[in-house]
Amino acid sequence: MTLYCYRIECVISADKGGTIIEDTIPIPDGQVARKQLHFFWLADCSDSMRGKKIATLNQAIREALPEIQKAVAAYPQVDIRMRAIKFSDDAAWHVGPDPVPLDEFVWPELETSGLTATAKALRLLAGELTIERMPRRGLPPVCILISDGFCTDPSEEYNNAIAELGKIPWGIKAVRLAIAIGDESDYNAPELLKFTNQESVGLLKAHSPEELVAYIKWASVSASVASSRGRSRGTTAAEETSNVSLESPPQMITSNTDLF
Amino acid sequence: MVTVPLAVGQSLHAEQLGTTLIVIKKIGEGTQGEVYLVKSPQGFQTVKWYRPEQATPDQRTAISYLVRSGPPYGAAGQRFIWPLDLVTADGIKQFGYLMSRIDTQRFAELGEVWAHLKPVPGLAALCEISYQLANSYRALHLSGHCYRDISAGNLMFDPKTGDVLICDNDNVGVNRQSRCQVWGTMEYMAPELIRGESDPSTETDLHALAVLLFYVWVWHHPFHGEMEYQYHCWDIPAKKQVYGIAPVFVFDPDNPANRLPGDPDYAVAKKRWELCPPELKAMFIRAFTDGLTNPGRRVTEGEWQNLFLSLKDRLVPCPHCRAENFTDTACPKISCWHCHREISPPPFLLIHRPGGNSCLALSPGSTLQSRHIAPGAGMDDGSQAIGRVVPHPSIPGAAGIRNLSKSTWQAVFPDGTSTEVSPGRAVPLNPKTSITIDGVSCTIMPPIREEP
Amino acid sequence: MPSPEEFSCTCDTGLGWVFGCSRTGASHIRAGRPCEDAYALWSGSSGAQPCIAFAVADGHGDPRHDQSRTGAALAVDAAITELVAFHRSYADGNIPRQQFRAGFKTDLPRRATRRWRELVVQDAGRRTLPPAPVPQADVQDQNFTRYGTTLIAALVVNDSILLGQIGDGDLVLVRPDGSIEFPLPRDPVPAGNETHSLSSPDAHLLWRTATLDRGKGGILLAATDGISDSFNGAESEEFSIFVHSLVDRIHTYGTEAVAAAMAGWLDRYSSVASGDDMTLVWACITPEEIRPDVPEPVPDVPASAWEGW
Repeated sequence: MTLYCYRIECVISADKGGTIIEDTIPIPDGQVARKQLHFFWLADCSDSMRGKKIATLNQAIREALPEIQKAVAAYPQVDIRMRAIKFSDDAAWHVGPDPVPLDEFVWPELETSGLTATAKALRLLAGELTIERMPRRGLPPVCILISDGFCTDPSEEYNNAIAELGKIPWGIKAVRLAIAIGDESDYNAPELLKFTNQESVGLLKAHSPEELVAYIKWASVSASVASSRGRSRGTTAAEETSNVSLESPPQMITSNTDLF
Repeated sequence: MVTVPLAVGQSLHAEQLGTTLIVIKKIGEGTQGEVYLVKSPQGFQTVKWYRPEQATPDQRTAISYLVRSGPPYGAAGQRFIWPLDLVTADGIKQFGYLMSRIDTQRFAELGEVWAHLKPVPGLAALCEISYQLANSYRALHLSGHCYRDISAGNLMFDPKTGDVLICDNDNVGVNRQSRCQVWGTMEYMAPELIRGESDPSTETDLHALAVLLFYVWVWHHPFHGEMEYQYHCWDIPAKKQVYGIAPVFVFDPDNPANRLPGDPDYAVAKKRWELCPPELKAMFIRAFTDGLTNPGRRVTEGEWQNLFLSLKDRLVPCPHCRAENFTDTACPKISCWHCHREISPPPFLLIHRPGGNSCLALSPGSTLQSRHIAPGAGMDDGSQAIGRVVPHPSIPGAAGIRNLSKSTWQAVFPDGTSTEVSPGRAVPLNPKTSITIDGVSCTIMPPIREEP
Repeated sequence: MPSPEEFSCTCDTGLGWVFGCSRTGASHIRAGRPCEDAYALWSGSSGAQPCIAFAVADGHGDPRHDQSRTGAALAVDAAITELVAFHRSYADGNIPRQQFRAGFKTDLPRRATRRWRELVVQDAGRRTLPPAPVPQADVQDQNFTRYGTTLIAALVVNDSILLGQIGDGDLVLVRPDGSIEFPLPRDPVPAGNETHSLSSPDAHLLWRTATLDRGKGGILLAATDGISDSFNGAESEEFSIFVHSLVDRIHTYGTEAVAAAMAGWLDRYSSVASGDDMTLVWACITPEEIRPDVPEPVPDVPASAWEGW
């Protein structure tokens, strides 16, 4: 059954050549809230990152921020909240524990010292991805791990931390990417690969500063966009991992000869 | 007729106790009235407040009778949420009754378990729920009362321990000819009742109990198969046909007319039926084949009780995945229903009783309860632990039974030596050792091995 | 001259009015995807017993559920069919209220789920579906998965409001005194944007149901999750404010004016907040009439009256 109804009253006003019809029934009260996307940087600041590597990392993340903002402008309903974990001898918040809205986020200079406590960083992350600490209905969180070396924590600790991420619901749904920096003999590729859950992407290997910048930009932008597109779905089988799909990463050809 | 709800802070009177109750808030809608949380001198309780059309003089008399007579005797009777007192309010014709408050965080309804709102009970809990149901309804019957409305809607249970609460007992009556019983939920009604061939009776109640137990184990109605599937319109004539005129058990071994269709929504029922051990399946088959046409062949509460106790005694955890599995003294090898790996048969305790021996499978943590030694004695429900299987402190992999009771046991080993086992000491699981507990003789039996 | 606004609604003057509005989500429009929500309204009577029935469904929408737009449409269709059949099967008998309500809780989830499956099988058989984007081992299961959706179903009759739900979405009842009730427990799926689905093999067990007194009536809202998501979730204070305020608008400006404005409001919420498809059905249920003191019919017909069937 269809009813036709005329608006009770209507005000027409001309404004710079346009016509605005004002609705006299005010929209209901209630502050709307955008969908939160939680973004985590996990940055290695061990001794081996000293010099060129850390400088490039700092620069790359700063450059990525406006690119992320531009990319998610197409999704105005998405509200990116960013945090960063740094790890060397131990893991600690570089920016955090409270998430910062993207447009207020500033990347403080990251300095180097000590070992590579990747496992501790992962456990700090897992602690934030619990159901209690995440919004009930949110977009898949984005986690980007950047490291240049072997994890100095015992491998059992590392594997347990990875397993924990793989068990909690937000850990499973997160878009997790890892970027390895430098010479391939300096880092444990299979170990870092365990962190990622995007099979089509694998481990991103940055051999040069340029590649690092490009990968950081690509990873942060495409992960944010993929998560923003997040759709509702029926309950998944236990074997499934991530529910977002990324486009493939850029071909890493460069003429630059600077080594790390 | 519009119900006038009770107001927050309103005062009510408990007639017999003579106390005042203050209404806190409405917590639910029962079948014939609303349920309110109230504050009383005893703490928090609940009041079921009847709708005006239900608040009849007959109902008032019925409630007063139940308040006076109290619930059935013993632990079995305590499971009924029984009317504690008649409740009235000044100047209002309506009335209600006082009940204890149910911890709804702990206790679940079957529908909540199905919808994943509460945890799923394991096999031990299922045995306990089933035993307590049969045990309590038996006590109700023995105390001269009749059931009114056995259904999943009145059953609450603790999914972890299997403890049971039975609600909505305001219609328990002595008068079995009560007309309203004709309108009992059709899916639980015995066929002869639906066909109008007989009045409510003990036998019709046994049918309802069997249907409820089937729901608890299989999560499905025993007659919802091909026949119900074919009905495009599920109205009263259809129900009468499927439940009353031509009921056929979906797992009837001889009559395939009502088997479960192949649709995916029957997968859960098929899977859960396979979890039932053979003795349980046999009882359900008897209840829903012979029992349909011959009410005298229905399974009695006593039979259900004994079955579930003995089934619970046969559960052992799978050594690989910890899932509970039913062992069988007749059938040595079983494979775990969950991980499909082989479970080797456990040792067991053979308890010699005049009415027949019983067996308790022994695995780490297995508990010997007072009911194993002295069934039916005393006011309690027999669940007190008097012995437990504990690991041996120095021989790796071995175990013993620790005496948790107050009395001293006598143990006689196979080599003829004997010893006293005082409270707190443990007897090693030495096969063929006999232990006498409070006059009852028990023998530790080795695991059954297949004939070579 | 202002242009007329179209909206759909249905009513039974003895029970109340129900309106619905469904809008494509802002992010769907941007991605060129259709709206995956559906709703249906029905009113009528059987044996002079009136009823109002409505249903709301939200198709899952991601690659595994590529036919979920159709799935949602079939779900509301199945729900209305079964709600009306249920009402009809009880309307002529002198069935006591508690049997009517108990029958709803026992039978509706099973029948509505089965009816949906029949419709899905028919639809899949009639069309040539493109190959499944995410193939599953069991082809029959796979078909149902592709049409996966949530479902809310409601039936309003003389003295009762009967509700059922599988999956996410919100059902809220605002009584005339302003109190807000959520008659059903929340979808118990823990995290993220997952939900229970009508396509699960055990869907008939996953429904949550509730039966309420019609009593003083009130405004019953059924919404897909895009709406509560715009306010940080149904438990949030902002959502309560929104619900109260919407009821206030209805009382102040009238349901028709609100119905005319609703499409614009939902569009605005979607574009600034959730981005999702937005569907809201609201039923303005009038208070139950106070009839003279007639006791509930005592069935003093003898048992042999069953023969009449």
